[in-house]
Amino acid sequence: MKNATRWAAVAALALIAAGAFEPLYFRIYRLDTPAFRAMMATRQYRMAPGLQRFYGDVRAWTKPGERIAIWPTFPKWDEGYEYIYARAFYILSSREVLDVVRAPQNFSRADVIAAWHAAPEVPGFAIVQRSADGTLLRRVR
Amino acid sequence: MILFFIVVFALGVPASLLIDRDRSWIARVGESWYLGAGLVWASMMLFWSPFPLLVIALLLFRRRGTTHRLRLSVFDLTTLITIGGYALFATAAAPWEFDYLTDFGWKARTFFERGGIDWTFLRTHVDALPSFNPSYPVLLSSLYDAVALLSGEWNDRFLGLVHVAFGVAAICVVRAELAEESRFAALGTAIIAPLLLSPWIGMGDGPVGSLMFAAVLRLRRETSYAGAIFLGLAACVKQEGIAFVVAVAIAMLVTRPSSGLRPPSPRERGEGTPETPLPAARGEGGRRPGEGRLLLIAALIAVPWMIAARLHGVTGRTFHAHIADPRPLLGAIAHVSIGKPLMWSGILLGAILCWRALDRFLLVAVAAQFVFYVCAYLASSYDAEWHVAHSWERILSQITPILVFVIVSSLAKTLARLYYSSSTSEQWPLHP
Repeated sequence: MKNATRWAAVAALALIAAGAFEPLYFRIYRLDTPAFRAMMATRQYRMAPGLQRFYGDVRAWTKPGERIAIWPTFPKWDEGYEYIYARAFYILSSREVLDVVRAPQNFSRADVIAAWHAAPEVPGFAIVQRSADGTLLRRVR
Repeated sequence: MILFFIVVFALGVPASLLIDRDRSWIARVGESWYLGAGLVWASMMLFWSPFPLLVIALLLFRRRGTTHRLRLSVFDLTTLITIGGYALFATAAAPWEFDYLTDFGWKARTFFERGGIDWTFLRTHVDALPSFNPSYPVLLSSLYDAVALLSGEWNDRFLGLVHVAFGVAAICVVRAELAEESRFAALGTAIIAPLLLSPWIGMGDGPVGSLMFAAVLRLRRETSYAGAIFLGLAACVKQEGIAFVVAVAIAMLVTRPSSGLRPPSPRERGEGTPETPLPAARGEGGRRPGEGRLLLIAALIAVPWMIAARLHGVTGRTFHAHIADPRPLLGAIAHVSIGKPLMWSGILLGAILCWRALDRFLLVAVAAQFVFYVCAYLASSYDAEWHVAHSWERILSQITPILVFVIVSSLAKTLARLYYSSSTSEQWPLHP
């Protein structure tokens, strides 16, 4: 009986150890390459290539406190717009990020429009900055 | 980043010596991190700088302590390799989780750029994004801000080290606790360690789980000021930490009905009779606070943020969607994967084997917290299936280490009893 309990306890510990074991924390010694780090750095933006770099540019092109409308490159909230809108907040901190899909009236409040993968013509705005990833439009009147 | 860790430990070590004079060095390392992080947070809240409390701490606290020696084993090497791998993972890039970008990190960056807690920002962004919780306490965001203040600029590249520190602190505490009760401490720690290293870098789940874990490990056998402080700090990271204060109170009431929440008797304080002397309360010079007082300490740490948020008009969302019809939620929970089937099988087997020896206090605390999680889902206005699918595993990761600790420590004690009662330690080539 004592022997059976002993082996059952060892088996329980072995099962817990095997289940709790996290192979990634061992494999990473081989995985940790510049490519892996680059992949992790862009992980939250992988569905929108260049978005992270574009928002970095927009941050450099704008000042704190400015109101930035996110251009609806994807016209529907659930089909891409929420993705690009939500990812603007962190990089564009201290600016006010405006949603123009659920609230189109926000165009009238915007100082600038950040258009990822687009160069739209918007009445009252003119393109003032351009990069390979998109354009920045600033209110002209 | 290095300066940040120096400041945290410069605050945490004196605080640890003040609270617990007598600890093993490994427990001292872990607990100093928690206390230092808590004091940095307090200093940020009060002065928006980590330095004022540092000056006070260095001037006031000159207490010396004793540290127990700890015998290391080959299994500690496994734990160290795991920690090293986790550190590489956590610092592979700036924190990448969505909730970092839209909550913890966003708040921290905004506060840093605006030179303090921006209540207007919190008040006016309630509906900005579903993942943004303005009423969440900001301990984690404040630590990010402390890093930025000390380096003079916002640089998020190595903020993952904060998460590594919380994981390592919990591992240090569990190593010290197991060493006091079992010869299988290193093995047990190596088993539990991966569960304490949260893969969600930039989110509050790792830090809150780490603090909850350390709190109940200190509170399970003794009434400990350190445990109460960790409990209060957990409540300053995420709402789940606040619920856990209540869960611990329930566990105290259920499993210690004889003492309830009253102060300890002279015998409980370590003042035993000459015939049956009791050991003095470990590390606190024989002074043991009542459990009610401990809960009060935890609440006093957690409540100021809630009051401040309320005074500034910062509120959370109103949730109530699934209460009337919980079936979709229960269906979603029934269909979600529990993950790690081997581990759960081991937990079940271990629970059957050691049922009588399981720590009831920890089990009740975990069970109560689990009920709170389900209640939170019931009150959520999000789609039940989506909400469960996106958070169930992460939320459960906060309490899983406690459950695993209960089973592993009981199994280790059982094994030690069986082996060492019938054989000599020489039969174990490796000291586990």
